[in-house]
Amino acid sequence: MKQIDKYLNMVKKQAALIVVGALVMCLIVGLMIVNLPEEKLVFDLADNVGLWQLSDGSRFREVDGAVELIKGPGQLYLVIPHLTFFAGQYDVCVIEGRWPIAFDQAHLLFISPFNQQFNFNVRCDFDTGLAGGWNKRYLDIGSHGAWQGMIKGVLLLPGEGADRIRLKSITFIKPNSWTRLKAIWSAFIRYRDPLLGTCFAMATPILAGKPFNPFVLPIVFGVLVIGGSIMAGVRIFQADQRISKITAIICLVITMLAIVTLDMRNNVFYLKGIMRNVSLYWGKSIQEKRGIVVGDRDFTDFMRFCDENIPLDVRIFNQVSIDLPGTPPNYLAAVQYAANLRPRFYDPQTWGRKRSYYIFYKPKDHKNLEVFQEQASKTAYFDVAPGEKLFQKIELWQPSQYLYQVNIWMRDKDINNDGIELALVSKDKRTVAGKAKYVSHVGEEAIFRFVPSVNFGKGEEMFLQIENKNRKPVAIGVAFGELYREGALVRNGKIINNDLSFRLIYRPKNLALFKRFNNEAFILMDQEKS
Amino acid sequence: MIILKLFAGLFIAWMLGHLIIRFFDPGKKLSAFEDMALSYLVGQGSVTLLLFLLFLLPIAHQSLIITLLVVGSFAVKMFYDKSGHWRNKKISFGIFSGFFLKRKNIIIVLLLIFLVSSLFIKISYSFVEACSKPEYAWDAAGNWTLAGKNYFYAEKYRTDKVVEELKNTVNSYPRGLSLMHYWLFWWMGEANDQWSKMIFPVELLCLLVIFYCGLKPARGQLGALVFVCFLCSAPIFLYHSTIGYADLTKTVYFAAGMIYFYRWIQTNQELYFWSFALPLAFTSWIKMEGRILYAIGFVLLLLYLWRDSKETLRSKIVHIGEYLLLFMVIGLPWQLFVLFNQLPGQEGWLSFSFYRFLEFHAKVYELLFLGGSWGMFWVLAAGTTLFFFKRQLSGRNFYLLAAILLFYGNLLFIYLCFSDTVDFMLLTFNRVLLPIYPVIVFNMGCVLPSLKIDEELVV
Repeated sequence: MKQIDKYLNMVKKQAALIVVGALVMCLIVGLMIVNLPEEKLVFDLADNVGLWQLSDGSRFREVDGAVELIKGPGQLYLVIPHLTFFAGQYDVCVIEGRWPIAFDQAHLLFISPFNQQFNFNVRCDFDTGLAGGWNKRYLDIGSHGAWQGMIKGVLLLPGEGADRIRLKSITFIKPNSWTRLKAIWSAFIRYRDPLLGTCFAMATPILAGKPFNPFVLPIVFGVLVIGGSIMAGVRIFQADQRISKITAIICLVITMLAIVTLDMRNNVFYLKGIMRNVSLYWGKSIQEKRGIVVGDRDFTDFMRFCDENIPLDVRIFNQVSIDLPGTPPNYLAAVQYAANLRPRFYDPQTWGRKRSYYIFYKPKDHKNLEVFQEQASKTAYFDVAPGEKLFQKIELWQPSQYLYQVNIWMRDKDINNDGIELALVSKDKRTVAGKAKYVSHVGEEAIFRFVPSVNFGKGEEMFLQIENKNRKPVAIGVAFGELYREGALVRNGKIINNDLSFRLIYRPKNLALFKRFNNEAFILMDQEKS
Repeated sequence: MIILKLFAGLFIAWMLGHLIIRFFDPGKKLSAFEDMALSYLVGQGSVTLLLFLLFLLPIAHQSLIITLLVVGSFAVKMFYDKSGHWRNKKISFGIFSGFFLKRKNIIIVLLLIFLVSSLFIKISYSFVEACSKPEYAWDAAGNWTLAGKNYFYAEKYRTDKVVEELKNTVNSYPRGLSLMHYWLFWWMGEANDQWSKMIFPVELLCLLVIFYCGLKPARGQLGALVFVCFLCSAPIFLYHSTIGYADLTKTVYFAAGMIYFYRWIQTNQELYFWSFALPLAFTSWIKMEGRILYAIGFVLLLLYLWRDSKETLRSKIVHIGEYLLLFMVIGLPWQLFVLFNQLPGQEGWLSFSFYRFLEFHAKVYELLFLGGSWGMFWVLAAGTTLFFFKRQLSGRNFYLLAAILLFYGNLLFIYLCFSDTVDFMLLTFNRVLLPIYPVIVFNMGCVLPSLKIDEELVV
């Protein structure tokens, strides 16, 4: 018996040795297979000075076998115009550099038969990795839909936040399995900055990562449907209840595993987010941070300049130029304006006696500066019958302004806008001082402008007359709250709203320069007091 | 230095909350961590409410008066409270004690390390993200921080303008959150919107502690921790703890209220009734929609008293009265302020359309499962409801389901009846859903059966 035991032990030991040996062999062979030699196209930036160009105003200097790119007034990017190769040759791009901000956003653009010029919408995004040391960033460009045919040049936006970036090389690789895995993994855990330049009316899908959900969801849904069907079957056919229980547990475990996978990836994002915040904001003043968050340091500095120079007891007009289209970054800027300035406390009884101040930041048209008087969005609609007139009492508070534009809300998009007549009439509601022309329709909002402008004096009571000359009623929207100017909406001779109801845009006239921050940012003020 | 001042402001708020909680919990049934979390939430609400009321009076130095009152009361309480927490009773941090040391099973230890580190990463992210930069998000800056800043400067330069600034509100939103910003600005001595944002991660932390304590009796330490991690797993939820929107604050109060409601109907301890009613009343001091959340709490209270409560009729009436009284003290002052000053509200126009039912649900599906950054949460929630429907209806779990259905019914009502608001509300739908999210996770924690692998490893 002892001999048999001894023999068995020996066999066990030998078997264990064989298994371990086989595993080691598999590992070595596996490593050799995944780490096969690769075909590479290395573009060393320091060795090829002259074969690449930088964006206007940006410059570079050579440092330790690399180049340091120094941002100019515009965006920093690098173009290699004559780099030509067949896309199928290389599936992975490796960019070696040293970035000052952790996990900054960077992009690689290229020209291929699918896009004949550098197009930002056709790009490969990557994050820049940890700050401070040399990093190699792997891009899985082979999976990009437009990475086909002959590539005839690449453009690299090496980072969005940094002013100085060091780059060594851009390498295109026909990858072995190991390099391909690194590129796929980099794309999978790429950090997406959720914050800069976004208006959060709705929180955007940030950290869950869209591409992953559509992949996982059908599987999980499938599992749930199959599980539900099995459980329903068990109930209908009165089968063993244990089947139901086991099915439920399996379904839940699969869903939980999917959640854990997603969550672990989110944790990677969170860690990257922490590191990015530390490298981007640590040790900076709140003013600098504000500039970074807004994405326009010039703007926040200008706001501070305004805050320091404009008296505290006057009224300020204009948040930013009206020409800005109202896209999210501009809302953001508007908010920062409000957040950056101390409030101005003026009394309605006296503020008209003081000069008003006008802030302008990068106006598109220096000759026609505009004042934006925002009001509440519409809260109600009135059906205005054919031939019916609505009157809006308006009063000019600032002598330095004139009425330029009126925006009204009209629900029916098929309505003939020329059938809506908008005029400025005097107190008797008969004498027409000027008529407005329909300009355009944005959503439900119809825009009318007074061209040429209509002048009326401060304190002079005027009415805005809106007449429906169409053959059918028009639903016109009006506001009932948050008003900046006084007025009264009159319908059929009766006041139905004691406040102003339509959005009015005024333009200033007779303004004088108060302070200049630079050529694109300045403060004007009324030339005359009322 | 500014951080010390900030913490002083938070600490005074906590002290006020602690005094209130001690008033309702003389027997000190809450563990120290839970007491701290709930005290902070109640304190934050109370300090802002006091500020609002004092601003309406013709006096100056409101913040200083509150500070002196709170510190004085706290000192008196500590001095006279002979059976107090601090003197005669050892402070119990029992909810976490021996969490790791008692464990022998290596799998459990590894699981615990994984869960705790995952939670630590998320909470750290929340704090770092919130406090490393000034306010940047639209509603947060435009509605809440801006108002707080205006009060701060009005109080500094033109005290006669403070009440006028209080009236300057979008959609008659209550000013609870803005006043909290003001309170911290006052403490810091500057309108620093970077550091005042710390209230949001702190609120999140408070909710996590309350959530954990609420679930621990049902699922044990490990199970409760798993669900706390699960609560933090939806990116949109964590994200809201960093941007400064009032939706997170409203969510925290509502969820805390619902958790304590569940504990109250399970234990019938009076402390939990107050812990349920107080946060729910505070929701109406955060946002106008809070009134609906408060009403949901009221319906649940009535339902419980009518259906399951074994209290006497007198006791039931007293509870209803107490619940309503809290609204009168907390929510009503602002409503009266709005009414007397004729502040503009958010008006909608009733135009019922059943057609929108399908449109609504199609959009909701897209938002919940694909575009809303909820991760896999709603899939699991759907699975739980499908597979464990019986457990959902049994016992006290019924009330959590009722809360969820009431919330859903309210949303549906608004979407079907107010056409003007549909587009906007769908745009903001994900954050409209936030208040119910922790309640659904808590409900799942109560409904899902435990997985028992061995004596220790029960999730």
